[in-house]
Amino acid sequence: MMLRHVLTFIVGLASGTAMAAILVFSPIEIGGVSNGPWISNPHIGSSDANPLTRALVARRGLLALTREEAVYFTATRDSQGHNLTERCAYEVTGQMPPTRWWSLTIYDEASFLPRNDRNRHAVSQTTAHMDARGRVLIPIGQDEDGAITTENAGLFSLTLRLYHPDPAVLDDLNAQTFPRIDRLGCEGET
Amino acid sequence: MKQRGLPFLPYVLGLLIGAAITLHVLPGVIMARAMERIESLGGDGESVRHAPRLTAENQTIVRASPDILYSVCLYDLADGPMRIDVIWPADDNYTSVSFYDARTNNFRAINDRDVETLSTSISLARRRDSDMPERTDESAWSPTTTGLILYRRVIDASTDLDAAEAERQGFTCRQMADQ
Repeated sequence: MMLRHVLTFIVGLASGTAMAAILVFSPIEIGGVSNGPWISNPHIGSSDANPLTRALVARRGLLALTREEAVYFTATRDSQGHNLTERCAYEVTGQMPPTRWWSLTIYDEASFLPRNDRNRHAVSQTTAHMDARGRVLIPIGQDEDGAITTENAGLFSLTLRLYHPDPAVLDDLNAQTFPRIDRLGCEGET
Repeated sequence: MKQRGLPFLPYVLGLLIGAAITLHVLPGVIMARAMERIESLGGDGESVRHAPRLTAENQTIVRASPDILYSVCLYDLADGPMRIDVIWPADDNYTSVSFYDARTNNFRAINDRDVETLSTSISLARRRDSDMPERTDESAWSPTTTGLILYRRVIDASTDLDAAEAERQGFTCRQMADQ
């Protein structure tokens, strides 16, 4: 009877280890609070992060800054809820939250810049097209100036970095205006 | 009546303990691997590795930004405190020096707007009561003996890259001299 309990405990131990490892190394995003398609976790980089968040950040956002320095928002879906994929073209439009400086960067499923030599993996506050009202227009997966290229990106994510965000962003994320991600069309669509 | 199937309680107990240990250990393992990669590229406890501007071909850390210049210094406080110096850029672009322990926690960050001087010296020690052989502007205490220090500097379309490159050479790490 005792041996049976010990063996069952060992099976449970192995199952728990495997489940945790699969969870951390799967394509799961870190999760947390959201605004439209943009998701952020306020505990990134912080010592008060729970063990799962810390492990996910170590895997998918190692060496991130705490929210006092920078806030990271990641989108894996467009504003209609579809996965972001290199098969489609998108447009990021709207107002960026108030911050000292922002940048928008594309990452592939492994959280690295997609392997291509186009050298157009990011757009920032100083390189983005903005209209007179300060609204950005960032083409994604389109062959034009100011676009972020999606070549070899597969199912990709977009990370919006806000350095020294306005305190209002930290206090009430839902009150902030974030840009939309709209799908314009996909390969094979007529 | 004969009991069949797996005993529920030992299985659940094992499941929870296995998951908790794995989640506790993984950040340290991932950080250690990252530090090994960085060390293999040239950084060590006494010097700084100034990474080239990020491209798809030279990535070593997940989700790094091509709009930032990174320099990194690995630390090991087993032999005593370290001194970190940084020269802040003149163009008012975001710049910071952030400290990460061996479990990935960002336990301290100092940025260009935290200070009013053109440069800052920082001491890094294991404990608050450590003897500091040198006086510095700022102090940081690491929860673990090893870790790394990351210098970030925003570069944008108007940045003078040669000047930025020269400025980040002012980010240095070294073991404090015994006196």
